[in-house]
Amino acid sequence: MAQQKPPAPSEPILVVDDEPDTRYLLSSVLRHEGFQVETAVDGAEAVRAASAHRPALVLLDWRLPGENGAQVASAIRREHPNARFVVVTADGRAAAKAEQVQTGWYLQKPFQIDELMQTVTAALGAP
Amino acid sequence: MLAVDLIQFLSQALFVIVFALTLGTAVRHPRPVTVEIAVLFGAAAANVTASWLFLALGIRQPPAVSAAATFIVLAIPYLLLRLVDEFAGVPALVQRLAELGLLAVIAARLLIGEPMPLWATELLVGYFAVVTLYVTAAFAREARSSIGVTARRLGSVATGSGLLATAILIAGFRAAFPGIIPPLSLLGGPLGLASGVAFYLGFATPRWVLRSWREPELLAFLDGADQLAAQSDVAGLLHELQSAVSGALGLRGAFVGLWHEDENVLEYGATRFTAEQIRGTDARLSIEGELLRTPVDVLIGGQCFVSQKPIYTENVEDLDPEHAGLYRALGVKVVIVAPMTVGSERYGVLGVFAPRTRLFAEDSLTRVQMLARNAAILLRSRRLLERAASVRVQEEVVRQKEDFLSSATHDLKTPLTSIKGVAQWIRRRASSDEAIDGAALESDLLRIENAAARMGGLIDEVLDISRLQMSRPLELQMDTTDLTALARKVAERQQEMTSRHRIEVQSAESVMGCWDQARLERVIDNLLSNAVKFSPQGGAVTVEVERESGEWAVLTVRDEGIGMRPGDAERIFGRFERGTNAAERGITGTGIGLSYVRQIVAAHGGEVSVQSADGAGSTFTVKLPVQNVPCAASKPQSESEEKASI
Repeated sequence: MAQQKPPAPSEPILVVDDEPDTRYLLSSVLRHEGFQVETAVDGAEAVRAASAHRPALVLLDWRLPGENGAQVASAIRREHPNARFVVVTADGRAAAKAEQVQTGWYLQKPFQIDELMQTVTAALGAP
Repeated sequence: MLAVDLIQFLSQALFVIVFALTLGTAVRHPRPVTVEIAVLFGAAAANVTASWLFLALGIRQPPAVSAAATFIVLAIPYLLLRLVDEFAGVPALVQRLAELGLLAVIAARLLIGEPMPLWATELLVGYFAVVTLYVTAAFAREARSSIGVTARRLGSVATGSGLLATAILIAGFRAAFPGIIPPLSLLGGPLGLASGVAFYLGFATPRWVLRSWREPELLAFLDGADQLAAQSDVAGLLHELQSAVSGALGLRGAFVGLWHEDENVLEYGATRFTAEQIRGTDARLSIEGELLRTPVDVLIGGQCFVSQKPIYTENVEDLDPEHAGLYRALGVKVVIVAPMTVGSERYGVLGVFAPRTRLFAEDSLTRVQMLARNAAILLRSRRLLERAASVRVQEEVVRQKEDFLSSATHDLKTPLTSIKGVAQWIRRRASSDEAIDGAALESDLLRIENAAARMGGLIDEVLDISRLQMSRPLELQMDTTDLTALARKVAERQQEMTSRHRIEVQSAESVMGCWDQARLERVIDNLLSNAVKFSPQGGAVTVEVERESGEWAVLTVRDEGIGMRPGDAERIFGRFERGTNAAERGITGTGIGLSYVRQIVAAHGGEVSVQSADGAGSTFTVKLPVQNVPCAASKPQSESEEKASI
């Protein structure tokens, strides 16, 4: 299926996930598609990365050790108010969680790579 | 009529009234005690009536009547003594002396005739006063050892006889020193009246007085029973009820039998009984711990329960001759027992017993019924509370299971995401035109393998937990295992999941043992992920593995996290238990992990413990027996096959 890709932005995509495999998978796929990718293992690292790299998009795992996605998202927004978010979660009710982060985009684990790309494309392409 | 005469008339009238009332009681409850009381006041009343009669007729009493009146008055102390003997026992010697004294004074009166010389009068007064004072002391002693209504009634009787003795002593004094102290002569009448009032309150207590005396008794019972709702076990409940009853009635011998509908048995608190006393008396009776269990229709309590009617008996052996030996061994003779029933809800029986007749027992019947009814009301509210609590517990169990299920599902989805995602990623590359990097492919396949192994471990943990919940034993797959290497493997993986913590295994040497490697991996993984989870500020997580005195391997996991409060340390190893400070800090969890750790370690013959303080980190210590290395041949793989097929 030919996808309609917007040009990759010059800002990176930030992948925040405590699971090393998920970080690897997301960053490998996105890099292969031509994106720059930064990774963070937890909220503290994510905030540092967000302020250093000003990512265009943050793929945010909901359940991080000791904190949840909403807390991490608001910490990132304090440093980088324009960040867009895609909530990634293995729990149910992904849409409700995305709402808590004030975004419309989410990925339910386990996800298809096509779904990932569609969601990322949509999030980046949105006005 | 002079005031003195009026007082005398009033006190005489009072004695007649008390006689009428006690006669009524004796007719309604014909027992030796009630009859004796009626006879006692009958004597006084006969005397009074005779004197009134002759006064009305305006003639002098004939000497014979006057003598008979004297004999009757002289018999009063002796009748009181008989009464004391009924409930407190009077030594035979004292009884014989009193009888001899009575005969002596009657003989003196007969032989000497009227008017008596002073010494004879003083002899009569002396006899009367000594016996009456003895009786007064006995009543006072009995009053002190009783409480509530009984104590007040006995106290009144003691006061009555004390006043009577004083009145007699004053009369003797007047005879010896006529006219010397005129005021004393005025005291006789009021003393007689006061004595009459006291006897009236004691022996024929009016209903309104009883009611006001009974109120503190009920309050004492309710006060003593306020711990009932908190008692979780039957023995504790029976103990509370029994001590509330004996406290309220001032009797040590209280008993409560709770009815168990499902088994149709009565269960008594058996602290006063011993298994030896019960054994051999009746095979249907059994002692279990602190409880005596009987079929629902056995013993006097059973008779009361089956009939649902209160029972009062002076001699329990008359009603239940089959267990006469048992009653005698336990010192049970007089029994008052009433059903604990509210409306149509039956809870059992409540009663009191004593080795001897007690005064005013007919009054106790009402009180026991009242307490039984109140006990039933308390038991009913307790049952309602229990029902409400059990509904709450069921809801809590459902909630905990849902939490666990959702947490387990989440945990399983994580490696599943890796497996599916990485496999798709390989397929995507394979289907594109690009050349595939062999080393990258191998590393991706290894990721899939590792994720599958982790998923297998998690599935095994879930299966183990449900197995343990159903109390089914775990079959450990023993294999030669290097605990240090295992700890390092888990630590490395955990380190990849956090930037705030430094997870270090500080031991270099191998510690070999014969253990279930897959399960110990879950144990260490649980301990390390807890260490990370409960130190949200980050910090060091230190793992040490040591060989201790040859026989034991010791693994410690130390963190710098929130620690736990005193009292939590033992609790947190329980199923669904969590530290009290965790929820306050918004740290979520199911309370399953540590209970699983404890059970796996225990299955290995080891133990796990924790040292911690609130805010000062925790150190978990796992001790495992090393056992013989190398391992005996591993068991067949039946269990893992079973798991694989599920």
